[in-house]
Parts: sequence; C-alpha cells; structure tokens
Amino acid sequence: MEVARRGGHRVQAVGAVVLLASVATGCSDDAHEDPAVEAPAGEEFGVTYPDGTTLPITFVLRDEDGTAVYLLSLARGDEEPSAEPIESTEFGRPAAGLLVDDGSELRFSMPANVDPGRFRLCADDDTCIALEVK
Amino acid sequence: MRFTTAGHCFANSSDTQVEMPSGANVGRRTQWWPGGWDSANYSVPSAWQQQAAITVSSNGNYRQVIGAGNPANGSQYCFTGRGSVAEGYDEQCNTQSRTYVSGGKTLYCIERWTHGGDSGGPVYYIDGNGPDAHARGTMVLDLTIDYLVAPTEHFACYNRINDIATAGNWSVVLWK
Repeated sequence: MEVARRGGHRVQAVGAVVLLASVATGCSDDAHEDPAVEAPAGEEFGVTYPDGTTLPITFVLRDEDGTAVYLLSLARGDEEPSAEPIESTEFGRPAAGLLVDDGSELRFSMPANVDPGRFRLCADDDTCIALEVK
Repeated sequence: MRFTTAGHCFANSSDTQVEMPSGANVGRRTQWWPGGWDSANYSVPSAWQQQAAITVSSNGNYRQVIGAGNPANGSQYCFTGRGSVAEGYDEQCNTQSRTYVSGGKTLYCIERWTHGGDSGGPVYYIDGNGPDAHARGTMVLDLTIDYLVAPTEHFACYNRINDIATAGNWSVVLWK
C-alpha cells in the first residue's frame, strides 16, 4: 500500500574543483557580458551558487541565439555528470532539485562536440549564467 | 506500508529519510522504476497510514487524501512540492491540457511550471472548495516549449497514480 506525499530532493555535488565562478541572474543582460565561466569542450566544469539557492538538477544550455542545445545534468552521489542533446523545441527535464547549503561546487560535463563559442547555462528561464566553450 | 516518489529523486542510493508530521524515519527502498515508470517506492511504518495527507504549505497545512482516480484533460488539478514551497508557492492549480510521452510512458501535463525539487510531489484534484484531496499522480517532469517569437511555455507533467500503482502492484491508502 502506498501514500503519496510531498517530495523533495537534496543532492550533493561532489568531485574536484575545475573552475570557480560567481553567479549572476537574468538571462537577457548577462548574455552580453563577458562569460563568467569557461567550459572546455569534452571536459567537466564547475559552478558555485550562493547558499540557500534552490536549483534544478538538470540545466538547459542555450546558444547565442537562445536555441536550447543540450540538457546538462549535475553529478549526484557517485554518478558522473551527463549531457543529452536537445533535438526539438519541446523538451522535458526532471523536476528534481537541490538546495545549495554547503558552498559546494556544482559539477557539469560539456560534450566534446559542442563548437566553441558563447552560451548560456540556465537553471530556468530567468536564471542563467554566461558561459564560453573553449 | 510504503510511500511513492519519482524514480529519479535519489540516484543510486537505496534508502532515504522520510519526514512526516509525527517525525522522521528511514524509508527502505522496495522498488525503483517499476515497469519502466519514473517511480520509486519506499517502505515506512504502518502506523503512518493514518497520515495519508498532502502538506500544502510551509506552515504545515495539509489536505486529507480521501480518494484517487484518473485525470482528464480540461480539468483543473493542483500540485505542491518542496521546490515550489521553497520559492513561496504553497499550492499551484491549473488546467491539465495535454500529455507528453517520456521514456515511452505517457505523462499528464498541467499548464504551470515546476520548481526544482517538485519531483515526487503529489498531484491532486480538489472537489469544489472542500479541504480534501483526491490523488491523481506524482510530479516528475518540467516540459519546456520554446517559440521563435512567443515566450517559452512550461507544463508540469506527472505520472498517473493508477499507472504507477499497477506497475508496482500496490494500491493507494486513503486518510483514516
């Protein structure tokens, strides 16, 4: 027998620090600023968010035109971060989230076949960071 | 007795901490992705059956679960979850207007966005202005639709409770 009840998630990001960046919010303006994060193609990179921030576990990588190109999922537990190409203007991602509460860096993986350039890494429509793929 | 949540919630961990109004306990995982559904089930003390309720706000207000059934497009449903509550949204209600297939499974979608952490949260129907709830499913996915000129749309998509109950061979416990 089951009881459906309120859900929730606390996910700990683990792993070595690769890059450290501060977070800005608001997609429209930040996209035109110098990228705060450098993400080498085919390698992992990290981002830190302020304690108390609630985030999804899967972010949307958008190119300079705003086109969603990849879903980037955080490392959880002993899992590796993952990336999945977005091939439609309609896409789903887990509604899971995490609460940043210990200053940990969040670890992502940038696919090897992403062309160098400027992107935005978006937690939601209004919370993005500028990012440059090297 | 068990409780159900989204299968993607806890990575590869086997057990989790379950919080109820009467206190916390360790939930032992009994099933994970049953039948390919994004669902996970955990055993909890049988004494918790009397607390088949949906907590709808950070101040502890709750709705008793007095029924369960299938959803229908065009009807209004509500959901809540840890992510929404953390962002100041206690309970969100809107029209279910479409479905979405993910992993070969049909999800049911409400015209509303989710907040990270809503996964596993309850989706339910409220009959009139009554205080009670009828279970419809568990939240699992945020559906994004990008348009060239119009603003991006979001839908909150969920597993239908009767589907995951059938896959897991369990039934819904109602408030006692």
